[in-house]
Amino acid sequence: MKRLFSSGFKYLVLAIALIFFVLPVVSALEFSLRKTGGHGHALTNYSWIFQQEDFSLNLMISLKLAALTAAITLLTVVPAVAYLHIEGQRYKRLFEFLAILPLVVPVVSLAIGAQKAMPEFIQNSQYELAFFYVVISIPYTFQSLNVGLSSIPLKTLVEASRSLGASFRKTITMVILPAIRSAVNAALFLAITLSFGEFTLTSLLHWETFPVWITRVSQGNILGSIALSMFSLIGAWLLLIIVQSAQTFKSRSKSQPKEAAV
Amino acid sequence: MITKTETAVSLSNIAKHYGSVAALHDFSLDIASGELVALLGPSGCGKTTVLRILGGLDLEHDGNIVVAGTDITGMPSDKRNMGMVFQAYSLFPNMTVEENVEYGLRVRKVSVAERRKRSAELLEMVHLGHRGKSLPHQLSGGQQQRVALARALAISPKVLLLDEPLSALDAQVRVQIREEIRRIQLETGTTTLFVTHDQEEAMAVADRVGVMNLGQLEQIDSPATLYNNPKSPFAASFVGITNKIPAEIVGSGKVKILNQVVSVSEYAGKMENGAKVVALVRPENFEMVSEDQSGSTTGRVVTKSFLGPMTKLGVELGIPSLVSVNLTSSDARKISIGDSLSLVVSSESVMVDRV
Ligand SMILES: Nc1ncnc2c1ncn2[C@@H]1O[C@H](COP(=O)(O)OP(=O)(O)O)[C@@H](O)[C@H]1O
Ligand SMILES: [Mg+2]
Repeated sequence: MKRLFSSGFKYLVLAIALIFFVLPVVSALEFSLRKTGGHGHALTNYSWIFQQEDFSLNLMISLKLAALTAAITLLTVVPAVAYLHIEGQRYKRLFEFLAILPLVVPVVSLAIGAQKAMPEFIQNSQYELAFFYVVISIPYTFQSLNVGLSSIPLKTLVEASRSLGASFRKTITMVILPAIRSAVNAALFLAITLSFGEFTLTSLLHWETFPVWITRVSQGNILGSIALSMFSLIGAWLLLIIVQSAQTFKSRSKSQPKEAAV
Repeated sequence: MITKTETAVSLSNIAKHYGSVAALHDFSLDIASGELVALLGPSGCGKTTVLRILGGLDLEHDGNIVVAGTDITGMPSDKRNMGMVFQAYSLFPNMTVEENVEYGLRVRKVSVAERRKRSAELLEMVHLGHRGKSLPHQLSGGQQQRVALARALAISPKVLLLDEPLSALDAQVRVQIREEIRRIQLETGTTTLFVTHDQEEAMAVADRVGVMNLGQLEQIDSPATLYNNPKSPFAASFVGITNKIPAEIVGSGKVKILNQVVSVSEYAGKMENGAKVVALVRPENFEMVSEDQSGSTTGRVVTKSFLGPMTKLGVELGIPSLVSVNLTSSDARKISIGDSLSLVVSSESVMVDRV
């Protein structure tokens, strides 16, 4: 068969893609390192970030919300999708459709409508945001879990585990979750990044989180705002790298050299 | 010593419907303690449904289940203590072979030392003592099913349930593992229900074979009885009778096949004189005779395959399908494709079925 692309063309595509993605980041990085007004580079814009009074406060709030979002996703969305796969195959289409809705419903209606549905004590706490973030991330977390669960012989595994004497809960925690660990990790990662970056809904409900705070403080300092964006970007990458390497490390420590099969 | 006298499992009048489709109706089966019963039948006849109902994976059914004298109808799967081996690979992918085998003991809170010992024993029994630390995906299909068997036996099950455990394996491994299953089953004296659609497999491993058709048990007997006395045309067709020859009832209990008149076996039911039927004749129930023998039919040999002691011939006898005839290889040596061959049905009686 004739090869579709010569290797020269492949490298050209790669180069263009790299320029397209890397150039803005590099430029932003360069820009964020400029000194205000004059020439030369320094970390002034970055130290400016840390000098802002509510920096660590808001960072902590967003981190807590992200952790809470991940926890709620793990405790509700994961078992729900697993249950859907095991017992509710015939409703799968319906739920796949419902899971898209958070993307379709305007954030304003979601914010106002869903807030009314919550109990008073949650409405009055900033932690209500975690519930919204769970809902907003459902189109992504659902999909990731859906794919993960479809890739294992779920029904057989559940039945094998049940016949060996395990309860449904034990089956989920000891067999199913470990078997779809990478899909669960991906879903949690999506929930965390989405909650960490959410702006529209949060500001509509008049709460201040890290992204809302960034927008506010950066209105007075262009270079500072770029430094802040770079800070968030690098933070997200670091998180991704940590999660990924923890995963590879775990799976490597378990696997063994393959021997001849019968 | 295992005694096969007391009843270990008793299924009575089990029925199961999926909407308007009856997957099982009026299904009753007793299994003696230590016995291996094979359920044999075509795909969709309800074999898996029986197994799942006995294993407690399907609780919505009619009828009663008694195991070791206790009525367990409605008891969920995790309380039944029955080991299951599934058709599809079912090992927990994230656990090592050893951890898989220990799983049932772990959920029963058996101490680590004790379950290590038990899993080592069982892995030794299925000849995988050296693979305890491997992950399932590092094993071949046959090895995985052997681990699944060890895992099911680890909980010392009251009943072992096997749902076509060999169907995903290639022929050679299939024979090897079915022999291992039988050896281990006899060694441990585990009461076993083995589901398969493979006639040879069922006959090879089972104490008794139950032939299923359309959600019902047609006949259950020892392999020899089933082979020699199939009680229905369906059972007959499932235990090796391949030739269906157009025939006609001529007088009471007599049937004319080709140029020959033979008795109808007692199980065929009543049929009127002159009724068009099909006669079921085993390939080994033909005899080669000289052309002028009365009642013989002469035809042309179209295919010939050597099967060791036997040779299988396909013979054109003037009916729509080729007739399959087994002769001893010494008799068949002189025959070549294209030769004409004269045959008679050698059995005293044949089974007939409505057209
Ligand atoms: N979940 C189900 N929903 C609807 N029909 C089913 C279901 N499971 C099995 N059946 C039907 O029940 C009958 C028996 O199935 P099964 O016990 O799996 O057969 P076997 O194992 O002998 O191939 C079949 O006709 C099958 O189509
Ligand atoms: Mg089946």
